[in-house]
Amino acid sequence: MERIDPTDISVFESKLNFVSREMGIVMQRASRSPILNQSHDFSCYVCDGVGNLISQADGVPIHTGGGGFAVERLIEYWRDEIADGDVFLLNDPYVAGGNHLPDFTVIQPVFERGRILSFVCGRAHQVDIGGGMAGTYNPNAREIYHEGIRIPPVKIVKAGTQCRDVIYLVALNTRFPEMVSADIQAMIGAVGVGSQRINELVEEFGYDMFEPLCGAVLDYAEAVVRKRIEEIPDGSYTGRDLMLNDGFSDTKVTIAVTITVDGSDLHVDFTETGPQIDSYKNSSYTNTCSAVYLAVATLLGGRIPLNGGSYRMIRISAPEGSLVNPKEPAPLTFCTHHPTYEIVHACWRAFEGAVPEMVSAGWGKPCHPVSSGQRPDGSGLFVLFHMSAQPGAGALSCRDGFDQIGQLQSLGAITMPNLEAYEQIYPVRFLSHQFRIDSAGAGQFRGGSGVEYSVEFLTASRHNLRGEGVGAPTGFGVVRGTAGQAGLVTAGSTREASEELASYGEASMEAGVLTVVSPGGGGWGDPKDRDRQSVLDDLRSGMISLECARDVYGVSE
Amino acid sequence: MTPAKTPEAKRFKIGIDVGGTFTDLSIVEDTESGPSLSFHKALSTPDDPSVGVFDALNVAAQERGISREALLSQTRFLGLGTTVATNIMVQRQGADVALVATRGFRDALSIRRGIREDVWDIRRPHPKELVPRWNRFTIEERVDSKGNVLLTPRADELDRLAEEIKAADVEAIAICLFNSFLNHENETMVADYLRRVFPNHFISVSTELIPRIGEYERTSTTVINAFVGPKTARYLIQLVTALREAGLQQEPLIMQSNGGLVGVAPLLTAPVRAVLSGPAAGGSAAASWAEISGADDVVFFDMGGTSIDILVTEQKNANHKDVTAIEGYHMVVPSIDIRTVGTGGGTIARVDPGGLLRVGPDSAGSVPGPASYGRGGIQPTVTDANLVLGRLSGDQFMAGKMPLDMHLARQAIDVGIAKKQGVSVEQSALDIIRIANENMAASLRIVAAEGGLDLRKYMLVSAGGAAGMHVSAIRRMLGMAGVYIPLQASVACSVGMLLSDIQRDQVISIVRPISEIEPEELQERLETEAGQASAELLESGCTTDKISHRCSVELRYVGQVWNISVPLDLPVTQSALDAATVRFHDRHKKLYHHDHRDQSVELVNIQFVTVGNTDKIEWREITSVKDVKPTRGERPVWFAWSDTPVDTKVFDGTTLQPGDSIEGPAVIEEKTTSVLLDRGDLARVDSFGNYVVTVKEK
Repeated sequence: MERIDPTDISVFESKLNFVSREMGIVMQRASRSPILNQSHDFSCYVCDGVGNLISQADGVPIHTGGGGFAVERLIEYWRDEIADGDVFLLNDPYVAGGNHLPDFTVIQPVFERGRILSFVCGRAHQVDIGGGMAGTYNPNAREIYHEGIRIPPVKIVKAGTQCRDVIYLVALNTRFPEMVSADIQAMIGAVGVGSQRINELVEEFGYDMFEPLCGAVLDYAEAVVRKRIEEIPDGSYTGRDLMLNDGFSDTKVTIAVTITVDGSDLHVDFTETGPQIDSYKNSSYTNTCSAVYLAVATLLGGRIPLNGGSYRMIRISAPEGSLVNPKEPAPLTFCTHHPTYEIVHACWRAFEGAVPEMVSAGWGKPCHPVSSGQRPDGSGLFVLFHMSAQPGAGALSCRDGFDQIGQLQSLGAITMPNLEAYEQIYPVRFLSHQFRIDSAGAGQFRGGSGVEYSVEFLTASRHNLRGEGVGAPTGFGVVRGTAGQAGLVTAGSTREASEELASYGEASMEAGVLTVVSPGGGGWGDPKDRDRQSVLDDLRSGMISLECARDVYGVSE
Repeated sequence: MTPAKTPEAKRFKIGIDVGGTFTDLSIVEDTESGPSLSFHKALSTPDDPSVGVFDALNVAAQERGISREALLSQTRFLGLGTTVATNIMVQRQGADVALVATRGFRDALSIRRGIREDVWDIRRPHPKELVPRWNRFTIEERVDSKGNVLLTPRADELDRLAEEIKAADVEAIAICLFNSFLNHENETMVADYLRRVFPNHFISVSTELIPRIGEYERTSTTVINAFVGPKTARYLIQLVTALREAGLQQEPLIMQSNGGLVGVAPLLTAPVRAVLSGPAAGGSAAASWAEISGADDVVFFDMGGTSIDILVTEQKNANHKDVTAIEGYHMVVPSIDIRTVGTGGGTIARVDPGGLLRVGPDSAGSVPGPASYGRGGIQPTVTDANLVLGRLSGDQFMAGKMPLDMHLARQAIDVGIAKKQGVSVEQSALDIIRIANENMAASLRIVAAEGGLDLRKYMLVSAGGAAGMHVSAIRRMLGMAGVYIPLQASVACSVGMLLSDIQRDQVISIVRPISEIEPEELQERLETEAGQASAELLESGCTTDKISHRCSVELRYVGQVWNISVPLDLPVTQSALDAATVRFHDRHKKLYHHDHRDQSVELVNIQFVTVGNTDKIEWREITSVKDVKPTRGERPVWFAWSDTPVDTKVFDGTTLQPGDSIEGPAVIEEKTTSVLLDRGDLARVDSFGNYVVTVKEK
């Protein structure tokens, strides 16, 4: 084959990335539910004709690393019955390569001269999927059937004609059928634009060149990432992280990983991780892979090409029946949060000894509940995500951790609402939202600070408890940095009269105050090496106490 | 404006744009044969921009053979862009500020809603907050979500607050209390008190600036205002005094971020309105050129040495946005919607670790600049590539005032790119241009996708010195309607000053279903606004007969968080509100492909705009015809479609006449810019002397 012009590769790659980006814009503009058009909890990506991720995805990091699996399962299931003008929908993690049920994936094959050259995909978190609890997360689930509707790869558009019955079947199995239908339509619109753009690319670069260029884009990413991995000394490294409860009891659950570096190859082995558990904190294989890819990409500094080629050198062993590759019908809806944190943390910790300057300290784990109740004006149900009660992030060797920031699975990219806007929408009054002294892990670079977040509910409320960051520090320190402080969640008629809530299960209360004291992120490096002025500034800011400055940082004025 | 005693006495109108490298001055002079427009340049003086302003005025006066005093005393309009506030933000060299927040909420500024522009850029920290935490003070008070005062600040609390601020030793104070947009009683009480205690401090109050929902953005805006306030105010006062002393009798007008002008006095308390002053005048220029080019919708593409400013006009109006950022600091100040893209003439090309050619986003700037500038730059840039390809002329660059060194350009590309990729220098240069054009086109595609624009209907207006080399290719890549290259392209913003109105924007948040809005009550509130705004415009030298008002409302379906802005007819009546609601449904359908006419619509913000019309320059059609049409002969130029250089005609643009047509491939050299026409392009000189480039009909 003739040599491909590197400038063609460069231009082709940038155009592919734009296809994802434009699908994302269409998706955001056309979607109905606030999860999508405000919180941007969706991702768009492009695969080649066999399911290799070929574009840098637009969206949430945890969504797409394993995005190609859905295409592979789709091809396996439909084989030669895939036709031009078809669009598919799926969500099931066991049979369809989904990550968890709330994320619906819509896929359109792109045909050229009767052959499939590419698949364009959108993956989006739905507002509801039926199941045992409104809002897609059912903490009481013991089987996937309790979590919501399972969708294998189904055709929702057949040769250009929408299958109204199938879309209706899916929507009717949710609590907000109208909104879910609208969001499916938005996804169909987005992949429609994506497939048109791929056709234009084929026309611009030539039918014969499309596949070689896809191959070149993957090879390019692989070469860049391999070079970076070669910087890591060969060896076998282990790391682990804990969940403090298994969802139904205080039994600790360990995620253990052994990563073997051999030249530029990585073998990520979860054999030491325990068996699947009863609660929704198992991780689908797809999610496990995405979490590993997220860990590696962040380890390498984030600024690498992000497509299937970037992950070719990573082999993942996740034993069937384990927590990171459970057998049907284990529930697993919570996996994009937990054990995603634990998988990423375990991978990072594995490398602490070998390449400390590449490793991030742990991000504090969230501990805020999802609250709901009836509006006092009789206008119905409200569901409130306490997005401003997030923890702090872990420090890196070049910066402090982000003070209160969105969660690890999105690398903090979820924008929080203004509390003034929340007061207009929900029957609540905020009492405080401010940094929490000494919550950040200490280090040469300190962790991000957690917050004291206190909100008064003006009506009775119910809380789905998810206190992962409660009970012990979760944002671990690295290279002699210390861990960020644990979180605390309390509720009562007033803040003073509040009592600590459990870290799983449910709670309800009459009108009263909920307070989330969120965890801090871990510190990086020896606190004694921290720049003196930064310590004094933190002290003067009230981010650290006098005792901390003196005893931990060894700085006195 | 005060009418001149005699037309001759006030025969000049002047627009001045202070740029990074040059201070551009556009001047209209009334002559017997009508108004005549000309341009002058001086080097910018970032340490004290007024020096550059006076230098430019000196040049303009000298070329007319009159004194600067005579020039200024005969000037009836002086519009100025200011980069003072912008530079304070870029260099973070503003005032020490104390922030006053409601107890429990002092960290909104620092939490900044967790906004991270680039998810994967995990090593980059947030920008450092403009007010350190130790200068963020709180007061016990509270307004509820309906606007009721739950807790009034106590006197002893106010005393304590004043003591704390005194001890902090700051120059400026920003006050932004929770829910103050619903009821400013508490905030005003705190402000009044602090103004008494600190009569000489710059005090910035959120509800005086922008009573809009959202504690993060409102706080950030109030803080930026305080941060840039003292220095900007000092500069403006000094500039006005100097201009007056130098003979100017007219009140000078300053360009705001919203693309409208304002007198200095109102800006002294709200300098945040001018933080994006510089490029904002491009909006008026773009709208004006949209008008004379005959296109309603244009994309204005202003390409300089380090970046491109892109803005879009629809129906001859520049698009606005209400939240904008500078260096990662957010402001809710109505602004011209300008996208800045990191590709310019000085943008650097390199081979990345994976062996692919990349262009940008970093730039060689003006120092050291492109390799061919001969100022020590060794990395190849877009300008170097254009030179190597014969598209730019080494001795005609900047009208010959700045010769480019071909040898250095070739060397940089050879060492940096060609040798590494095993191709010729010319091929590398073509690749650099291809990727640079691709990057620019991609930016426009994103603008189009986000705004739902059909680019095929848009005219690309070329502005800035570097755009002419690229606009034809970009038009082609995007299938746009055509390219319009005004003669004044390289001084677009200073011309824009002469085309702008005086304007004041006010935003009010009223979060309520539109069905619950009492039209009379709203009309009353807007009349109060109108009174205040008119007073400000009169202060800016406007006269009552020139003042008009317009209004738009931001609406959403109940439960949504994004708003859509639609016009609201004045005066506010029930039918005006109904019409706005219908416009909202229509717009929602256009943007999001669905609407819900049976659902409840909620009002969120009201934008009230007061405009004071100024006399505009009228573009004159050129009628004189000269009979010679000299060219600069031919020179070899490289194009992607030929393996060998193509002998290409070169025209001296200053000699071309209305009606002339030039077929590509060709290069047209103007004084401060050059235009590349590719094969199949047809450039026609229109009756204003500007170029319209379209595809040659086959």
